[in-house]
Amino acid sequence: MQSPKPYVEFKDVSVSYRKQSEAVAKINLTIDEGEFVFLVGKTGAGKSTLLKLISREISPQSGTVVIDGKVISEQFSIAIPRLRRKMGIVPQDFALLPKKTVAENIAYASRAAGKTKRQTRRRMAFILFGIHLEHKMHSFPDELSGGEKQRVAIGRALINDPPILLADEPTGNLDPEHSMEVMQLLMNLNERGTTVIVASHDMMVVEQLGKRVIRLDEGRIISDSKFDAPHPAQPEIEDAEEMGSQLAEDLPETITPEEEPEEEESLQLVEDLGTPEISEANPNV
Amino acid sequence: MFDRLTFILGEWLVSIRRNLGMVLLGIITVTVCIFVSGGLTLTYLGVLKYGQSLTDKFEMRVFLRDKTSIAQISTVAKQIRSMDGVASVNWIPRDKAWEKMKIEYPERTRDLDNVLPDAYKVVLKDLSRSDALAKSIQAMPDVQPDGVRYLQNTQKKVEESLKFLKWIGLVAGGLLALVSGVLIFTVVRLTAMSRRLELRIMSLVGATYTTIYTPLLLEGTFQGLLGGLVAGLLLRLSYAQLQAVVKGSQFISELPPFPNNQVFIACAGLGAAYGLLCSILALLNLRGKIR
Repeated sequence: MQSPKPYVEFKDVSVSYRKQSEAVAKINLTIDEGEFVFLVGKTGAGKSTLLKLISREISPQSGTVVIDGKVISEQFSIAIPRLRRKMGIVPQDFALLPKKTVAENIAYASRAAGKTKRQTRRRMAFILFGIHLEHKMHSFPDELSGGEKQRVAIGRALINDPPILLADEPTGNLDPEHSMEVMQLLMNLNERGTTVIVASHDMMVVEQLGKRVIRLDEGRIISDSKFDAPHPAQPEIEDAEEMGSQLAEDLPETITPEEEPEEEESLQLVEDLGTPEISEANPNV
Repeated sequence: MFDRLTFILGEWLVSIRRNLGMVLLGIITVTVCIFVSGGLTLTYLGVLKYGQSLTDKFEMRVFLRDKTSIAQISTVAKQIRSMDGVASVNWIPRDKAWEKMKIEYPERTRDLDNVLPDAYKVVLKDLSRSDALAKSIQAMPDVQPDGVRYLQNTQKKVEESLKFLKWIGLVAGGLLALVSGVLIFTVVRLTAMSRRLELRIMSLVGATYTTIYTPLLLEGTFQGLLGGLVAGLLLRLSYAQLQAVVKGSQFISELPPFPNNQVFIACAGLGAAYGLLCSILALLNLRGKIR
């Protein structure tokens, strides 16, 4: 079996915003193509800084950041837009234009990214379908729930069909129900091959999904579930089916009582929610 | 390409609409600035032209002492000719001058002997040198005390007017330019701040710098350009009014036609360049504040 190729690499990366404190210190990290990674830690641990390094919002004081074999930390700022068109960025605050509808918000970003009207129209239908918001395409952000807003933000991040998606606290403003809704969407994208990196402090969601978790503290990696033994705080779920049932309970909007799935559909849902990855990541579960 | 252009122009129109009041204020101040500066420049050029036209007519009379010999007259003429700023020197023999005077003023000259001295008609080519020349000529031993006469006052007035216009142009034009510059700078900055969400989204999805910043640069350039064109139009109207007034006057010669092309191109070009410069400064000032 072919081993996955590294997509994001941090090599001895250090960043300090002020002279006194280092936001990240000598970070060495590799994220493979198609991986789903959580960056967790308390505020100021360096999660957002790592995402900003990938999106070249900041540059490291030392070390190199490599994406898809290219050292982006040494690229001139003129190359940043091209780099950003190869990634989807989902901000925590949604950053939706309040006076534009869902469709207009996505179309605006698409046109800004250089797509023609025709390309935008074609891609729009696909994106709205992907984020399950076809029925809300004419709604304004004020008329959407937090989860829906975040889904629009994710949809907007997909306009360039990026191979990598960066999400900074995508569930930070959401209740657990909507958090799972957003996570499911991210997992679906990951299953289609997109590398997903999520900065989060929502441990409940992180631990339920059983993906690779990188813990940060004071700018240093203190644990990486890819290499470490399972963390004792991880949920003690007897089997994948139970995990799936739990997630299904957390997603009342996707499965309404009238549409309660048959047993076969329920199993399909379990698969959709990424159970195989849970088993792979944590073989002891 | 056309698609890109329509998007950028659309963004530019949104920018203008969002701060319409401030945009109008910016245009008005640019108009006033260019109108005042342009008006002063036109007046300056007019006075300068008048001053230059005076030099042709500008004659200096130099009266020599009594009983100056022909050889001395010739030597002094040579000395004056060699001076910087002198176009020509012509000797006016006292007898010829007396003959002319007797014809012009027969009553006053009747039964009198020739009282006139030998003189020179000195034509200057450089108006600004006249004072210095008069002093040098006056210092010559064969020239009478107070023997140099010329239109000192007219020349001084022209020079003073030019100096005044230059100063007032610099001060008033400079101040107005500063005010309009600050306004354009503020409008572009305000627009950028009010559109920071759009700018952030563009930045997130990888819009090129041209797509992000061109609408803002266009906004400043547009204010300058429109202000310049309106100022050009106002100058044209004011000049037409002045031409009408001058036409009715018997004492002032007719004004030359308004240099339409030059004025409109200069005003519009100056305004647009200034607006663009202020926009660039505003965006440089905002660099790093909008991500």
